[in-house]
Amino acid sequence: MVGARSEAAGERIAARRPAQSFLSTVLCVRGTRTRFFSGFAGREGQGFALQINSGVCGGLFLVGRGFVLLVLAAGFVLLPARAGAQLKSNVASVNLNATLNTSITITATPGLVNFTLVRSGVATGTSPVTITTTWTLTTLLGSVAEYAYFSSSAAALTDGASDNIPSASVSGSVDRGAYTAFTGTSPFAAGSGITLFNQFVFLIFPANRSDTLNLQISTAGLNLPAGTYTGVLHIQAQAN
Amino acid sequence: MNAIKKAWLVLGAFGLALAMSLASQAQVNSGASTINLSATLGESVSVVTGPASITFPLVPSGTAAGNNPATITTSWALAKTRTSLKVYAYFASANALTDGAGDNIPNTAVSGAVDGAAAAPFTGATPYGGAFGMTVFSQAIGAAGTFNSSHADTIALTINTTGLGLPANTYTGVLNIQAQAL
Repeated sequence: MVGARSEAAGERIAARRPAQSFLSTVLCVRGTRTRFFSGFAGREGQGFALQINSGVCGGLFLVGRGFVLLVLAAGFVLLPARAGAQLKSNVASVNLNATLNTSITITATPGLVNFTLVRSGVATGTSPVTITTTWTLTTLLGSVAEYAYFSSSAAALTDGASDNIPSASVSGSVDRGAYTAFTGTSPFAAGSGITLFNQFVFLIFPANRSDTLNLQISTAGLNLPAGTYTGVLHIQAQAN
Repeated sequence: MNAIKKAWLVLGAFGLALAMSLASQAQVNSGASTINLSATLGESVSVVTGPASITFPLVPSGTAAGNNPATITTSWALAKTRTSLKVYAYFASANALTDGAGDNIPNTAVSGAVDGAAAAPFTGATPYGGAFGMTVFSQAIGAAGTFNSSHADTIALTINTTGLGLPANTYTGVLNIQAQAL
């Protein structure tokens, strides 16, 4: 039993100390004067006694056989760890290399737009083109411009028999804006394109945007023979 | 004071980074996304005529001119396999006009002057049956610009009642205008 130690015995209420205690636990702060109780329970028929003690706290007051064993076990566990020498492994290092590449990606759907031409007039494409542009730039400040263009201004569409629809007869409406003929200059073709957007870019955060492009073909003045005319519209972006 | 210094330092660092960014950047192009375009122009031939009605103040025996010439506008878009286009004006039968009571004006009594040329009776053959018409316009197809075009003509109509012995009445008829590409 770990007893409670005090400087002076306190007032004794019971004259006879019981033969067996069952619990007596008092916590106090070392060096401070405290007043604590100790309870004793005797064997059957022996009654109980209550002792009131006071004095300077001399340590941890723990009473109880099981608790003592617990403290001892903890001591055995902890002491070797404190007493043993430290053993450290070497330092293994893993190099991390993360590269954020500059990229601009364009997806355009549908891949085919049909026109039912009239002899002399305007025909609208069967569906607008949805263009999604995603970019990751490594510059803090710049711009991204996107263009739609034909590789040839004289023959945006052709029947393959020298009958052509020039790019000037093809118009595009970006995001429901006014129709503009494909006669603009782009970095990728001269006189056969339109600018879809020109966006200021600040910081390097990845960004994306979606645009729609409606297309029209005017056959006025072309005197085209009846037939099927095909062409390829290119969508391309450039970051500066 | 320290706060102002720090602010200037941050601003300077940002400006330097910005300048370096602007100086070092180069053009970056995306790949080209392509959209296929397919435009189909079907063959077509159309004629538009006017006015809808032409009236003739007939005389007992003689020639009466229609109050207005017939105007015919022919438009076409033809495949490159075509070689000719012709426009015809014709009546469906030998009875060009009738009063509905058995009194008729035959096609031979009706003449047309196409585009100011000499008048000719509607006695020519057409692809639409009989010899009750005339050719208004003929175009060879094959040269550049001939596959898709339009053309306007006029027909000044006259009715000659000489020898018909018509009773006084109102006579009506329908002149058909039709084009054919070969």
